[in-house]
Amino acid sequence: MSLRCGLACLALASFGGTACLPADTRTPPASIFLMVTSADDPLVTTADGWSIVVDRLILGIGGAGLLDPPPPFNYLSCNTYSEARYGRLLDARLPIDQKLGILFGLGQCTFSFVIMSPFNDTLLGENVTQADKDLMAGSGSQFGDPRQRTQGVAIDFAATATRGPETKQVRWRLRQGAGMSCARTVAGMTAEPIELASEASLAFHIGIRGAALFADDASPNASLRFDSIASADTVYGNGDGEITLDEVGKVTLNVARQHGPYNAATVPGVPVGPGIPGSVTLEDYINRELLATMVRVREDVTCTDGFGPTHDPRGASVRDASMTDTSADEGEASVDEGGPEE
Amino acid sequence: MIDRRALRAAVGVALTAGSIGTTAAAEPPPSAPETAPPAADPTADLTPPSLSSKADVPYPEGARGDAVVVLMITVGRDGAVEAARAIEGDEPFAATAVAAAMKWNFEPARRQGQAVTARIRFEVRFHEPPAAAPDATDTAGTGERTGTVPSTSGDATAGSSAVPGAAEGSSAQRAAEITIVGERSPPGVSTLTRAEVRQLPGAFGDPFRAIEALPGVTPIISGVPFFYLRGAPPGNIGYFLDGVRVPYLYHVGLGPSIIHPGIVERVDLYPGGYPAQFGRFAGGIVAAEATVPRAALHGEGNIRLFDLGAMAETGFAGGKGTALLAGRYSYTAAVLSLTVPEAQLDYRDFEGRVSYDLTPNDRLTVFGFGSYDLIGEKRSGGLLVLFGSEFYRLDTRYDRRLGPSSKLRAAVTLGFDRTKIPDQPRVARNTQVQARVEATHRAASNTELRGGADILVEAYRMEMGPYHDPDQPQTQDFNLLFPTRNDVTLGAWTDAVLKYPGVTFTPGIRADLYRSGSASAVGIDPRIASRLEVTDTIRVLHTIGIAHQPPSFIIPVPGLGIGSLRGGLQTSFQTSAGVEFDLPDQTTATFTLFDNVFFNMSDTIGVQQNERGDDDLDFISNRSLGSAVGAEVYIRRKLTRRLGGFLSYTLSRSMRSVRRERFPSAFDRTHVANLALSFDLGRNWRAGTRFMLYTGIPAQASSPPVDPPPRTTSPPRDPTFYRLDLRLEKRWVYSPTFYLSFIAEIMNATLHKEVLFGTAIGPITIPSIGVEMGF
Repeated sequence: MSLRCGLACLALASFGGTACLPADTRTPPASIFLMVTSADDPLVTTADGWSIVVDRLILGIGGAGLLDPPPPFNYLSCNTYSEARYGRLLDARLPIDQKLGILFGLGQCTFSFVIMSPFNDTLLGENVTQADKDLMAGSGSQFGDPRQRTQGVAIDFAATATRGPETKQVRWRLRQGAGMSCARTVAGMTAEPIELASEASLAFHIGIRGAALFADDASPNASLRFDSIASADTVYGNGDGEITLDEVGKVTLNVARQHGPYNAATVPGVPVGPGIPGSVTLEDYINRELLATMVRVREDVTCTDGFGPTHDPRGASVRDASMTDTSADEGEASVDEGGPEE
Repeated sequence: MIDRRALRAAVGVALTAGSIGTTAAAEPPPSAPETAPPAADPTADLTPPSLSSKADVPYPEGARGDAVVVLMITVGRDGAVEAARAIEGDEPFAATAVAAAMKWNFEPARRQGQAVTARIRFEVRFHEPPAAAPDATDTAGTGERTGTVPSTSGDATAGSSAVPGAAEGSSAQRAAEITIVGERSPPGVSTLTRAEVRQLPGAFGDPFRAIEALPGVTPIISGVPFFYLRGAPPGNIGYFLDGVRVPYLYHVGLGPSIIHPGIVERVDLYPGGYPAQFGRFAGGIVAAEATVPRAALHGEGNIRLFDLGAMAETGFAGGKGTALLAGRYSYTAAVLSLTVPEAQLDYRDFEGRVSYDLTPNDRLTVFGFGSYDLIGEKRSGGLLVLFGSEFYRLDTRYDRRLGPSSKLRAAVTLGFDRTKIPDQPRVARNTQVQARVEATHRAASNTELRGGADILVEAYRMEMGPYHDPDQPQTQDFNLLFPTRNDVTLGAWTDAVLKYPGVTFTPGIRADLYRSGSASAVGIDPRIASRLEVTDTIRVLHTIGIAHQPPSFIIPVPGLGIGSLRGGLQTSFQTSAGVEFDLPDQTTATFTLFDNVFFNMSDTIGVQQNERGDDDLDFISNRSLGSAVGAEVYIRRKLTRRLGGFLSYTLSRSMRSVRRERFPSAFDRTHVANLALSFDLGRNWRAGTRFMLYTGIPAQASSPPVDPPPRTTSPPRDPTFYRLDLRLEKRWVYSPTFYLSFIAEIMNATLHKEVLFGTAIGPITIPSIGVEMGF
């Protein structure tokens, strides 16, 4: 054997004897670009004559992913390539498209996301500061069931309502989140999966309507009504003009229904109508029923709170979940981690 | 004068007797002829030492009469006499002969062309000078010489004449007894030869897989070839093959080593306090040495349940050059596709080497090797790579002997590493070039100086996958921790082997300058080792040293390195003290105490408990203060003996301190014991068994609470695990150079499940049936 032959053998072994790692040879997926934008009008008027301006709507949102469609559609028909399992803290009053995440997949899918308090690695959107994040932050970095999160604030909401000489300030920090599952709406009725064809590029605008927290019903076309909420300050509260979540928690649904229907949303497995277990106060109703109705996708897609009946603020103690806002007095806000309030 | 055949027989006898057995490290690399394959004949190409200087011996003053002294002389690889002692003969003749012998020089013994240390019996005959001769000095030519030894030429037959002292008279022509001894290993190292590993059940013939049986090694999971070493995590252990750093040694999961066993001469395990030539790892070193190039055509092949492999080497250019090719290929993918069509598991490796002797003192070698691993899932009409890694090395080296006392090696290594990161849509890539030079010089008969320097330039690149959201915070954090950048590492080291009667000191120091991105750091690592010969059969060994290492990942992953020296260098302070005994019947026992401290340690899995970290990647880069103390017992008789075996036992405590918490390492195991036996059943049947037992790790909840309680220093532990490995081999020898073996082996034959973090795993049982041949 000659030297030349030996070297040739070595070269062959070095470069031909083994292959490099293969590239991703799967069929190119479709992409879904999810964006968040404001769905509020600058000024809304309620059925009972209140004019409302949303002053602040900081929203913890994220954990976007793809899901198999619900029955009767084919189970395992959604082939997920990658998801956007991270969080953002966005100012949902801004009438601009703010990125939520990009999903890649093939087949028949629905998509999902969660509204929940921010994590350490939550990204800040425009107009949102680190102080906002610090105020709203829970602990940990892992996305999961928002019901497991007993700390932090999912939505920091403020609004001003006026009617004639009356002015009420609303300052709510909603700890309860929501897990939204979104499917294609056909003829405004049926939820069907979204078809993800190879190399298709889809985009959905997730509108956030803060005024939905003042609706008197969980149906899409519910009227806005403020009297029952205003009574939380004037009748059940201290009458200082600022309506806190604690005060709203003192208004029972039976009292509220003197002003409007206050029915539950139509969610599979959830009873509809008065006397819903768990929904005792107006605060419960806001957390349980109205929060999810804030989400309105611009395209022909409907999102529902997928956590359904277990999404019960009382499960984590409604009083634990409530906030005591001292910012008005001290210039900064803090989360009250105190025990149940009676 | 004896003929070559007689000499080889004598050598074989000596090797079989193992008359020099000291420690595992000091054993000769080849196996005993009784069980080694013919291709591994240790006497092949053996040239004994021959005198290259005058062997003058003065007749002692005041002495009377004739005398015969038999010396046992150890001739080093450079030809100098390292040691001499009289095993027969009276004073003052014995002392005179020893003193004279220490000044002699030899052509060193050579095996397969490479100088090796040899121990020889040497006879010196003294004849009283005639009283009537007033000038005996003139008779001797150098003074009062009465005993002489003829210088010899270098051919094999003449080599035998170098062995017995050939004084004036025909009685000098006696058969030689030569024992080839390996370079006496530094204190604290454990060595496994390929021939021994063949016989170790559960190692499947892989030298690297056998490491887990050595003292100081604490397994993470049975059968998974990643381990802690005297408290150091897997990421703090460096792997070297012929001086070339490699990212890991094993194919994916439970796979075999990434180098064909046929080209591994031996594996040294340095659990701490290792020589200055090794650096940049704060834990231990696993250093494999490839076989010496051999011109005679030889090879081996094997086919097993999971893979097949082959190795062949031959000479060219009249024996000046050699060429070797080896490789292994797993057909697991084909097997898997029959049962789990959507899964794909692949691994393969290759090795190629060409050496050429430009002159008798100059050798050029090109050594290339590579490894490939893939776990994939067939989806959407294609392959989704769940985990894939590969690395390749091309080492070009030039070795030159600079006279009888010095040698030099200069080498350039090109490397390419790549890994597809699981759960991360990215590829980590590292391209590197390293230039290094090493030199050895025997400054005096008792002083050997060694030194070296190198520069390593590495380009780390993170390639994003096509389908991902680039805003993922984990992606951003990952990029921060493993940034795209260029790293440069400069290193230099030197040590000296100082031999005095009964004691050897090896002081050394190395310095490394690390530059990663815009960050820099310097590590100064002093080391010292000593070997005190208390008696002929008892030695006291000490090692002490400091080692530095850049931030390390959980386990070595090709192409993945924490960048910008984030968190600073890790530092370890390692000490050990041991006693080594030569017991009867070729058995050696070592008892060692060790105490290691790790500062600023990157031991992600060792400090984990209940996912305490607020952030995954901060969790990876979290640092801790670590310590490990323990005792090791290692009693062994070569597994290649008719009845061989070993007992290794480690009693240790490995602690971590993070912030204000102090707790046992997540993989602290108080007791780790291995008992292995290999026995010749006759008619070329050989059986082996190995029993392994170790304490469970500190228990953790399988479903961690959101706020785990503070950790304690004495937590409850998972149950103790043990396993039994079995091996049976039948060999057919068709000619002196050709054999065929059938080997059946099973790891964890009793199907025991291991409990880890409170969850039963397995049983991890690996059966292997295969056929092996060699020529």
